[in-house]
Amino acid sequence: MMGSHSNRPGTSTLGPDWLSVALALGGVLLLLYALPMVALFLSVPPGDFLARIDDPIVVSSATTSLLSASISTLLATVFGLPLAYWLARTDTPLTTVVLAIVVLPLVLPPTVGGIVLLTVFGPGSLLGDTAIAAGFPLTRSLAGVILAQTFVASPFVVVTAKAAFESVDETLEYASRSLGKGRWTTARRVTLPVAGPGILAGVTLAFARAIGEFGATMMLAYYPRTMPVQIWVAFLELGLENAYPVAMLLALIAAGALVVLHTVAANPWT
Amino acid sequence: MAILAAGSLQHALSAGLEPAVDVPVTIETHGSATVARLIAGGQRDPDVVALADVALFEAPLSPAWYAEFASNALVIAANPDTAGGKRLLEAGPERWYEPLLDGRVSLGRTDPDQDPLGYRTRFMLALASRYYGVSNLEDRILHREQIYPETSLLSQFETGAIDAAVAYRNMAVERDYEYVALPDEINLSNPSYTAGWYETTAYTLPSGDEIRGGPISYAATIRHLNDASMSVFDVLTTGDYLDDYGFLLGEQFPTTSGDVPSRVSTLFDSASDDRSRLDRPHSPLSETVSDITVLL
Repeated sequence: MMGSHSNRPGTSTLGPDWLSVALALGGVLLLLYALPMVALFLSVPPGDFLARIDDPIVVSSATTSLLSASISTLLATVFGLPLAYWLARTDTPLTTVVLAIVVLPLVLPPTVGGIVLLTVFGPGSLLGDTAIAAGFPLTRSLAGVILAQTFVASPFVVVTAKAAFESVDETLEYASRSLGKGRWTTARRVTLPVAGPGILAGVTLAFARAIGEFGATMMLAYYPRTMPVQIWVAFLELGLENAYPVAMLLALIAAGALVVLHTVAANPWT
Repeated sequence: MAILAAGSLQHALSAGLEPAVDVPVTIETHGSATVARLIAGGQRDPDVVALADVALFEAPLSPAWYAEFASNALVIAANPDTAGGKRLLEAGPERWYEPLLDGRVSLGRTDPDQDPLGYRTRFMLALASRYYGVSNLEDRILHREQIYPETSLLSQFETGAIDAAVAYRNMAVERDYEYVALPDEINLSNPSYTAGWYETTAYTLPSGDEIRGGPISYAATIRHLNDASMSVFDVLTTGDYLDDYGFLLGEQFPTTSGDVPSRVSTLFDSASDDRSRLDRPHSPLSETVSDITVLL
C-alpha cells in the first residue's frame, strides 16, 4: 500500500524521505529517456508530421511493423512460456546451458544476428533454398521480418517469465498437485495467474523490442520495409529532418500498441 | 525487379528512377563495399547492381561486363549557422583551406580505411597542396578526431556538431546544404585529369592493397538479363534524373567495359544518339523515358 510507511510512528519525520530520494535518483534516468523524445517531437512541425503520415510508403511500413511485431510477440509467447517454465522448474547443468543459449541473441549485436540468420535461412543455405522452392522465402518477405524480430525479441519473454515463474511459491503448486490436479492444470490455474504480471512485463518488452528492431531485420528482410527500415531509408535519402516524422510516428504507434496490450492482457489475470 | 545499389544513389533511385519505369522495382542500398560483399557471398541476388566505385567490379564482384554511367564530385559542405562554417563559405573555392589551417573550423570526414569517401578526402587534400601551392595540407588539416562513419557524419553536420564536412556533391544538392564547390583539378570528378594528376595520389589500406587516385565513377551491371531488367537498366544508366539529384553526367558516359551483351550495347548506341540529338540535358524525366521506351 502506498504511504503505509507513515503508519509506523516516527519513520516519516526521522531520516530522509526515501521515496523522494528514489524519485530523484530515478529522475536522472527518466530525463535520459525523455529528453531525446521531447527533442524529437519539438523538431518536427505538426504540419510536416501530418503531411507525411498518409504517405502510402509510410502507411505500408507502419502496417508491416504492427503486423510483424504482433506475430513475433505471439510466437515468442507461445514458445517462450513453456521454455521459461521448464527453465524455472529444472535445475541441472543442462539448464544453465539452455539459459546461455537463450541469452545469446541479447548479446549479439543485431546486425551480426541478422548475418548469422542469413547463413542459416538465406538463399544458398539448405533451409533457405528449400523454403524458396516451396514458394515461402525466408528472406525479403514478411516471414523474414518475423524471423528476425522473434530472434532478437523473444529472449525477453523467456528470461522475464522464467524469473516470474521462479517467484511463484512452489508450496502453492504442491498443494494443487496434492489435491489431485496434474502438472498442466496446476500450471494453468495456479502458476500462470500468479506469475501473470511478470509474464506481461516480458511480453511487453518483447513487443517493444520487436517493433523497434532494425539491425537483424535490415540484413534478413529489407523488404517489406518495417518502420525502422523506413526511418533509415528516409535518413539516407534526405537526412535527419526527413527521418524525424517517421520516427515520431513509430514512437506514437508503439506507445499506443503497448497501451492496448496492457489493457487487453491485464484483464484475464486480475 | 530488385536493384541493389550504393547508398548515395538511394534518393535519386527512389524519387527519380522508380516513378519513371513501368515495372515495379525494389530498391535496397548499403555502402558499396557491403553491396559487393552481400552479392559475392550469395546473400542477395538482385537483377541490377549499381556501385559507387568501379574497382568493386574487379573484386570482389567480377561480372562479365559493366557500364559506367555517372560521376560525382567532392565538395566541402559548411553550416552557415556556425561561425566556423560561415568562415569557410566566405573563403570560397580558392581559399577554403585557410580557415581549416588556423584550426577554428571543426571538420568532419569519414574513415579512409572504411570507405571511398574517406580515402578520396585524402587524395583531394594531396592534390590541393600542389594545386594551391601550400605545403602538406593533408597532415596539417587532418587528425583522427575528425573521423565519423559515413551516415553519422551527416547527422553530426545537420545538428551543428561540426562546422563542415567533406561530402559528395549529390548529398549536398539533395539535402540543400550550403557547400564550397572545389575546382575540377581536385574534386575527382573529371576523367580528363586522371592521367598524370589524379592518379599520382595513392592510399594504402590496412590490408596492404594500394588504391590509386582516380575519378569518381558510378557503374552498373545486369545480373539477370530480360526485358524488364533491360528497361530499368536503361533508365538507370542513361536517364537524366541523375542530373537533378546532383550527380555529374559527363560527355563520356555511359562507357562500357568487358563483354557487353549485344542487346545492351545497342541500347547505349541509341541512347547516346538520342541524348545528343535531343540536346536537352534538363528535360523532364518522363519525356526521356518515353523516348527510350519507344526505342526499345
